[in-house]
Amino acid sequence: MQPFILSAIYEFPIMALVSMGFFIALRMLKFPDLTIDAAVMGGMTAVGVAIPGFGIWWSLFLAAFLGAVTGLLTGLLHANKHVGVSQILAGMLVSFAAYSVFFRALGHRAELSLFRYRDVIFGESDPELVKVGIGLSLVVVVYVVTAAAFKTPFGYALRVSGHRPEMMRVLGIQPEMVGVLGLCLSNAVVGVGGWFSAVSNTNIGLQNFGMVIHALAAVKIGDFFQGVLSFFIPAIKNNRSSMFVVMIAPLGGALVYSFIKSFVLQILSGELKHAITQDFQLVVAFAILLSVTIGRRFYVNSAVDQNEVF
Amino acid sequence: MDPFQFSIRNLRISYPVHGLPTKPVLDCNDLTIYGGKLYFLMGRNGSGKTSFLKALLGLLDTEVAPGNYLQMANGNAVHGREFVRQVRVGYIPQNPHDAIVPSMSVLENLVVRQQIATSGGIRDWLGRLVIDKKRRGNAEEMIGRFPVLGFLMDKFNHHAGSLSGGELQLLNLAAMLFFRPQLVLMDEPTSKLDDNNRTRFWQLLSALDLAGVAMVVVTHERLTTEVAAWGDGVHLEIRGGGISAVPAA
Repeated sequence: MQPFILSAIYEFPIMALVSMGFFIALRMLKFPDLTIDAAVMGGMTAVGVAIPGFGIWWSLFLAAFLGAVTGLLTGLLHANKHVGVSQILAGMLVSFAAYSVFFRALGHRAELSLFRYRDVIFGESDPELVKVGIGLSLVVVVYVVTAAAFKTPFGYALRVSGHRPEMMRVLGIQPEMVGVLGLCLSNAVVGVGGWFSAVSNTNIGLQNFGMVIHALAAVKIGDFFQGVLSFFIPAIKNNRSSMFVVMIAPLGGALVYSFIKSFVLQILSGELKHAITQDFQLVVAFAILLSVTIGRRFYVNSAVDQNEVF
Repeated sequence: MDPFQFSIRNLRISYPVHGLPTKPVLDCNDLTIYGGKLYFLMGRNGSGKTSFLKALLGLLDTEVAPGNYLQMANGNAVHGREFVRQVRVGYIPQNPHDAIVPSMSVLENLVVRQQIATSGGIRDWLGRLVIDKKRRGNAEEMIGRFPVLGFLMDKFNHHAGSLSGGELQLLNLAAMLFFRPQLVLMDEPTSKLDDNNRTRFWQLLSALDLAGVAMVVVTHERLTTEVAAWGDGVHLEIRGGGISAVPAA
């Protein structure tokens, strides 16, 4: 297999999980959540903390838990009547503070190689196969579980709380508290993305700030991707309110984004590669700009709100 | 079962203003609302009509509307926030979009309030689907009874954001069929509708089976023929910071 395809397949689950979590907060809860970086760090830290003593699967639970805790803190900072900071500031504060906490948890290290735990992670199986198997299974499970959860009363309560909080109050339910639960869910998903990132790269890097921008890029590209897809597949166009269709956007965006990234980093060579890898952030910024401006014409994702913060 | 009723006692709404004395908006010392009756609430702009509705909807803080100003039929006095937990309150806002989640389908918007309101316990919250075959069938059957809602039939799967304002307000009203409220509060529900949709709205309201339901409508339209023909309600007017009954015009 082409190395760039393999690299994209490793990258895809990370991007898919992170952008699904980001998508839930942004589109279902209408919460522009900047906690993403903290949740990714939480997921990574869980691997570093739990793998030596408890093994890989307990570290997965811990990753989801730490992700949920970051979401909980952001939610409470925003929802608490006495603190009541804005959604964006709440996420920024938690992300900012989380670095110090996770830095300490990892024994005052921001970088940690997991190379010596390869046996614990992969056992005697082929690491490449394990990575692909775990990554894709996680994506499928999270996609199915979250899409199904949004069809239950709890899922609808999350959506109504995000979009029409006053309607929830009239039903005697505090929308802020429902929103906090939603942020726990979305950031738990992101935490799992951070976990997979650490496991598949056998490396923890807390300094990789800016994951939220990549997630946003994937979501915006996903809107465009879904719009294009609906031209060819009528079932997508006709069921645009279905959560299984709505959640295609972050998945498709993550897929396209992973392939573009791998293509740039693996296939291109010479001057062009040098220029692009040097200025990858600039390229990403232009990619988002392009997909937002062109993609707007193709939107079919019913969850897209014209007044979206991003 | 006793007919539904409640009283508003010692409701004082005043909005705190930074650095200035609080500005009293409305005092309501004794007003009883009975199930099965229709109340028209009138008053000038800024007189406190919407604040009054918000007090009943539990949307006002204790700083704005202090004390337990709502007395239930059993004698218990509660604040608006507790009131909405004990009573099923339906709300139709002035702007139809305020009660609709545009990214959800028409069918989802029809049933979602009832589904959320009747959920209790973790199994109920997570263990069942909101839209299933049975619920879709019920919705089709209920909507089918009202010709004025015929347009919804073909649009169950469309997302609600694609409906016009008039259609959305009819959808809001249709959602009452499922929600079965004890009290319905409407804030100038037809002020943003054209003549045709206004007529359809009042026609549908009169066709719904809302026996035993108390209805409070904030309106400027008491003289229009649709409303006048629809029923003789109690006419209330807010004037000088208080609410008093006035004779129907």
